[in-house]
Amino acid sequence: MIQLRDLTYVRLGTRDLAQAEDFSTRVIGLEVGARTRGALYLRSDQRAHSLCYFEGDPGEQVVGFEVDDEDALTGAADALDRMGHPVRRGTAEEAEQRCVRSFIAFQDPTGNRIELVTRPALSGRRYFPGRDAGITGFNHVGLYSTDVVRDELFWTNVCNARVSDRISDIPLMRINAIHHTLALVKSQRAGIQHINHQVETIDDVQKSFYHLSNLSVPIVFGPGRHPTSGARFLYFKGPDDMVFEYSCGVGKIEDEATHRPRQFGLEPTSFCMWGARPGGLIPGT
Amino acid sequence: MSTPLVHCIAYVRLPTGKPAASAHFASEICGLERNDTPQGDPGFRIDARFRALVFLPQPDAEASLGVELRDEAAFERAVEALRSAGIAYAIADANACAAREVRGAILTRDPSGNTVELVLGPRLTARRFFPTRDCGVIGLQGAGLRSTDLGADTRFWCDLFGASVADRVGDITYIRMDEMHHRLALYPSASAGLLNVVLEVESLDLLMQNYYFMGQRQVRVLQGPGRNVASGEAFLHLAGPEGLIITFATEMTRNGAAPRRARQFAPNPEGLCAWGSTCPDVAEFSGATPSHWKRRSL
Repeated sequence: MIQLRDLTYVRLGTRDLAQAEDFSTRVIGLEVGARTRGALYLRSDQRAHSLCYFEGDPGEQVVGFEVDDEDALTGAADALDRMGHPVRRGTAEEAEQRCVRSFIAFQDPTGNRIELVTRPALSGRRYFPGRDAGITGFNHVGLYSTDVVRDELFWTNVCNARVSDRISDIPLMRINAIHHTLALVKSQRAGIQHINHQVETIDDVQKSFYHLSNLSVPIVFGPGRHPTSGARFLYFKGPDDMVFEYSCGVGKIEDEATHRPRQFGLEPTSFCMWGARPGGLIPGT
Repeated sequence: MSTPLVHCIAYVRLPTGKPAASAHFASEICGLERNDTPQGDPGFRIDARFRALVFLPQPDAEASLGVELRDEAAFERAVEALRSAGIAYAIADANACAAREVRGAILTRDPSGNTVELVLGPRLTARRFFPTRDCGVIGLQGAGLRSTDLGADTRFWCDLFGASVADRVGDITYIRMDEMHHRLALYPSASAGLLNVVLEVESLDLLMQNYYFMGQRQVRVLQGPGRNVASGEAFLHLAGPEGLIITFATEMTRNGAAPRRARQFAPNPEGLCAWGSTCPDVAEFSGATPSHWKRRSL
């Protein structure tokens, strides 16, 4: 079984790096870690970067997870190979671009581009945001899935993800004590559904609601509170229509051994216990 | 004066030209439990009190604010304080007390002219407050009064009855009576009157649920969700019938017993709301001081 240890980064193609930088720093509150020819590295916590925009097709979206070491990476490559998932080992140059020691790239059953990495770089210099959004770190992603039941089995059987809760058959999955690091959302296509950054307090969520509204940033969903994880949230639209989320107070699974996934129905209150309508984020609700 | 004579807000009596609309707003929108007066006027429970909100179907009547006195001794001292300050007052007779469900009442006005009723022993009931919907309301927390003379009104509450100034935002003055940051807020205004009634809800979750409920029911949110910078409370100002403003609030700072120096915040959006909400339609909530005011009385 592939042991995912942490979420490492998201890589997004964009046709307009300047716009991506402006939005990331001025609106989201990320910090520019580095700029290279054709790429922008953004920080949100101790990681040297957690979001990378590169010149390319906005459809190119990659999620990186950390595994323990080189042996784990080789084991993962072998396991995926045996299952018929084509695996590509990254070159040294590509690894350097990702600020990791080594990595492999493959696709999940839906076709989401996943990378497993070893030794992702942290930075000794602390994250200092472009604006006081209260961000404490890059936390989780939502992935589109053309078959959530099949993909849940991939993430839980081939990898070490565990289902914390389900809304209908949308699984919220964890790879550590945090309620979820990965959520799957039904779609006809592959891609990243949303990118989450944690913020310190509910005040930060509410302040951003007004701040972003004043900047005419489209609010997709919220402010609200998920009854599953308990997190207070705000979803909004960024460059290339990518949805970003701020949230705070995401719950932890205290007892790994005895936790049983709870089942919520496919209705608006399963996504927001306050009454915000999730239609913009979850079609059909 | 050490222990304040005044303790908390006991009730609000509001004139209305549209009793049915007012009652509908209180019960169906705010979720309050109906408990009409023996005369048939719409009355409501908000907490353990027998009746904390009454609508008087006399549009020309004045709103009155019931403020609970600590005890009998406080009642006597309040009478004495009013008498020596030369402020007109009346001791409520048995009928007036019965109508208010109190043991005793001093009927007076603050210097702006707001009707204030200082009451003793407002009736409680053992039957618990049972709202019409899961609104999360847990009590009548406070009220806001319009003030045409902040200096005189502040002295009225503080010098006569031992309350204290918690904080100011511009000239908005928060009056503290007990461990809550404030029970009463005085807003600079061109005329006197009751500005808003503040209902405490149990949590931020309930406040936000009410926010979305109001959206569904097409109730106008005048301001919020917001967080009051001075008091820390999260709030939602709602427009009711005939200019009534009901405020849902939660998480107000609770101070210890120790006195604390009043702080001064700027009367701008940042001094009023920590989250960035604004209130374009109610001048009092925007921190504006009427331009013709003379500053000397403050």
